[in-house]
Amino acid sequence: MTRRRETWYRRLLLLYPRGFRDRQGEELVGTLMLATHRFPIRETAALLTGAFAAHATEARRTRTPWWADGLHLAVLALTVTELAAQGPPRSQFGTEGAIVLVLLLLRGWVWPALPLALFVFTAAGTSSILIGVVLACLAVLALWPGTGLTRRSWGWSAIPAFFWLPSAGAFGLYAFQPWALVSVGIDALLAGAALWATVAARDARWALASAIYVGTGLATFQLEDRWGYLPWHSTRDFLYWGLVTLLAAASAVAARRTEKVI
Amino acid sequence: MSEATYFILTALLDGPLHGYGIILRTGEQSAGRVRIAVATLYRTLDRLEEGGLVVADREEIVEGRTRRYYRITDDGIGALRAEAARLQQAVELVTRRIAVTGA
Repeated sequence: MTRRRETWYRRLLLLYPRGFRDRQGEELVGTLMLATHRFPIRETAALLTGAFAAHATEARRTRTPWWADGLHLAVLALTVTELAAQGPPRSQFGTEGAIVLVLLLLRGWVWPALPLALFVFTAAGTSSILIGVVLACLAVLALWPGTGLTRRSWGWSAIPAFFWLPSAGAFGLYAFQPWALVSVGIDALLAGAALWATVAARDARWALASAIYVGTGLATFQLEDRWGYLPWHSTRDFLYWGLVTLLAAASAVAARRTEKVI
Repeated sequence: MSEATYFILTALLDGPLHGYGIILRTGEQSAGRVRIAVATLYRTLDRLEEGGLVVADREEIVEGRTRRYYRITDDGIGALRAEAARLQQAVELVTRRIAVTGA
């Protein structure tokens, strides 16, 4: 039982960022072995929630300024959800371009991503507002000295990859059930994760990303009659936009309130 | 200051402790009310170490496992003192009002 418990803890520890594991991993497992005897439901829950918080906190240890990290997160979130919404581009080299774009953004290589984003989104028929926001963010990141972006998790690429599967439905508020619920769920999950990460890391990078992401979506919805549904505002619209706007606003408030908490 | 941070720093006032020692001490000091999860403890210690409020004091090997002892710094004591003063003010506000109104 002791050996199985330790194996279990070590597997859960793999969810933590490498830096944290190197600094605290062995100590943490040693203390867990002293502090627990039965199957540790409480400690398992704390390890799982702590892993997400540890990733959020670890971002503060990089030299990247918080605002640059926030812009990077916003561009990545807008790109993967837009590519998920559009499906594989039908234009020549569109699919290859989209895959390379996501890879470049995951690696934090802004300069080559800038023209490629313009090509991919124009070919995909993306709204001019979203193209403008993505290009503006990338331009700031490319031109501002010393922004040195960090690599992002491969998990981001799972969002477009999943929605590009032949069996998957459309990603969007007006997609048919049950895919509308899945896409709304992903948006709410992103905004909720931003709130949680803001509270854990106690800075504003995820709040900034959340505000740009939700703001772009709202602007696109209000200013562009992209789907021809603009005159028709259903309860679902108000619930959806109300929820994600509330989560983005809560992230901004949390960033301000937790900034000085030790 | 979060409750976990407050109790962890308080536990270290009497001298350096290792992780399990901090958990035991916080349990004693709070009469069993505060039970800090191990993952929460090490994330908090990691953050406090980054902020310079605690430092690693020494390490020892017990039954093949490394035990690191943590020590509170002067900045840590200062932060704890400020938080205690804030809490004391909050307590006095209520107790003084209760004494006046007799509620």
